[in-house]
Amino acid sequence: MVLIAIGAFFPVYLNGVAAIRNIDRKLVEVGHMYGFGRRRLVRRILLPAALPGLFTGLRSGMSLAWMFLVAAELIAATKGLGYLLSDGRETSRPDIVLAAIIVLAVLGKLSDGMLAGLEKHFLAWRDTFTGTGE
Amino acid sequence: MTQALLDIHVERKTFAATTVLNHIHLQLQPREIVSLLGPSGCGKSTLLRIVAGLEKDFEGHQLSRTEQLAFVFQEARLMPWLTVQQNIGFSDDDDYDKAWVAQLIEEVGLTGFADALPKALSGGMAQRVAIARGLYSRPRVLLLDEPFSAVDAFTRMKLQDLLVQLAERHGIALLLVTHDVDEALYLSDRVLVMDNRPSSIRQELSVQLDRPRDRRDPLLARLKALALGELHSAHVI
Repeated sequence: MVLIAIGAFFPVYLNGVAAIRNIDRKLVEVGHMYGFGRRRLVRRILLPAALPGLFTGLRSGMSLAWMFLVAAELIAATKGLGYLLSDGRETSRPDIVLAAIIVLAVLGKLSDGMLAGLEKHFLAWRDTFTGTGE
Repeated sequence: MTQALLDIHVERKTFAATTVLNHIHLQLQPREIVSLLGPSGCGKSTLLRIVAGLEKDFEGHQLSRTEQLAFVFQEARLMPWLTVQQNIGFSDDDDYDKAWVAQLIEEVGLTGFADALPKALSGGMAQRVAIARGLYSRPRVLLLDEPFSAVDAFTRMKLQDLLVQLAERHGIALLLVTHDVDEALYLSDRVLVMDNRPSSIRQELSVQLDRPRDRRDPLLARLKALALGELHSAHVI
């Protein structure tokens, strides 16, 4: 658990900090002009402006969390997907290994897809290249 | 004479070793439109930021300063995640005055764009939203920092007319920073020509013309020649 938490924490943290550091000073100045206090500045400007970076962090954190999960289970567990992998290998059951791999792939894709969907919903305002050639 | 909305003395303002502003006295009466005209880097934007209270580190004092100030920046500076109406009511968070915002949207000529996101707006439209956002708090003074320098010439003329019209309707005084001689003369009651660094006010031109003005008015042409001559001898051009 601790391993997964540590693994997932850093990409979220680093991306979050980078996102806040990257906020356009000019937008923050608008907040100063209106006399916003610290709290209001965070809620009205800093948080929404940092959201794209936060999502990047969450997605890479999620992928790392999966990897750490499997790694942890491979080493020291008596159940779970990682355990199935090593157990299948040791008992010469390729079907179990393959099934575990496929389940992992599907889970990873689903969880990332969920975050991507949220990102699309919350960041619809972004005026950036979308990768679709529009 | 009525109480001035703004009355500020700036003895000196320095950035590191460079003195940017030197000995400036600025006054703004209610409903008056004043332009600060000068080259880029002469410190006119800094002066505006001092007036706005965004720049607090300077030598000098403010004799009077209304708190009902609003600022329109050079770029529109809209929050890209908020719609046009949310941007206009930005200072009141989510419970902004919807009727007032709707009226402002109509007054700046953006009817039908209330729910548009800033990415769907052209530069001129974004600047209209910025002006509406400035008016939202019902200020007595609107400070504008080269508000139309990023839009094309025709849009600029339209926006200038819109601005004067809005200022008149709402009884607002304008303090405008610009490097466009025509713009300064066309809009203002007084034009303050700034020196190059360290800048002070070199000359004050008063434009006594009724509104609405004609851009082809010979008085404007004469004053323009005067202003250009002044800028030339300040080694600005």
